[in-house]
Amino acid sequence: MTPVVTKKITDYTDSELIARYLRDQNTMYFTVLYRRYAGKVFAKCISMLADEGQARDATQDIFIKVLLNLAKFTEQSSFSTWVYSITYNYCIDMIRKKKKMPLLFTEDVGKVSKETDPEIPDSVLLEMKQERLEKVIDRLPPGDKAILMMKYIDDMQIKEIGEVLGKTESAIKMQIMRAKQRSQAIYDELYGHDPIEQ
Amino acid sequence: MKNNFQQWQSDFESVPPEIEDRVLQQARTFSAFGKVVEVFVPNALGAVALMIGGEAPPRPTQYGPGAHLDDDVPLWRIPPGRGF
Repeated sequence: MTPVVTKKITDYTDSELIARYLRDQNTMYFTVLYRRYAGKVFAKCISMLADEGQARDATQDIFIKVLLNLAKFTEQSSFSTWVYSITYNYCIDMIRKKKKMPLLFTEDVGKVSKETDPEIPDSVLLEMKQERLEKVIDRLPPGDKAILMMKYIDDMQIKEIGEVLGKTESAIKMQIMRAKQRSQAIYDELYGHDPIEQ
Repeated sequence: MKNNFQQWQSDFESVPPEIEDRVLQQARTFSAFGKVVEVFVPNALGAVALMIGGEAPPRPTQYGPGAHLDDDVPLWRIPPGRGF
């Protein structure tokens, strides 16, 4: 007789946890989902809002939104992408409300590069020392920051980023290019005198 | 292996425990509310669907006092002298 192997709740996939939570209304399934993603959501909120107190409130609000909208999750994207898109949009909305004239993207700043400008390779950002990268990213407009985080932290596809921000793929490609150029410009401004230690 | 962006992000991933308490407290409240609704309005979804446009289910036959029951009366209930 073969022994019955029961799966631990922490081994359930996101979809299994959601289906069971919606069927049984048992909070232990939601608790596992929360513990799986709370750290990443909190980190994104701190990076976007640059304020720990606001990031705490935002994390709480975001998970309540997730809970209330769980039945609407259609699995067109992965659960993580869905949670992160709620997170980015929530943070961008908060920044919009906080500042009357928000500069969300580089193009809002006014100094827009042309399509013919040279493309900055990914390695320029990915080879920066972490503390320098942190300072460069802190100076970016929130929209650019969000776009670079989606690309380099969450490994989202251009199409997915477009769905999160409600923009076309070509617009997102252009904004990634501008965000990289702006990062390079900030880096040169901050560390132009000491460029060796990237 | 994490890149420098992911490494930078992982430095902020420790969530204060009180956030978990608050979120899960809310989750328990919603869950309890959902269960209360289910107790007081069993088959709530079905009832709403019928109200919106479905057909009402067939109702069981109800007889008033003195109703003519000839066809329904089983043989063993026919009073003596009235049958056969």
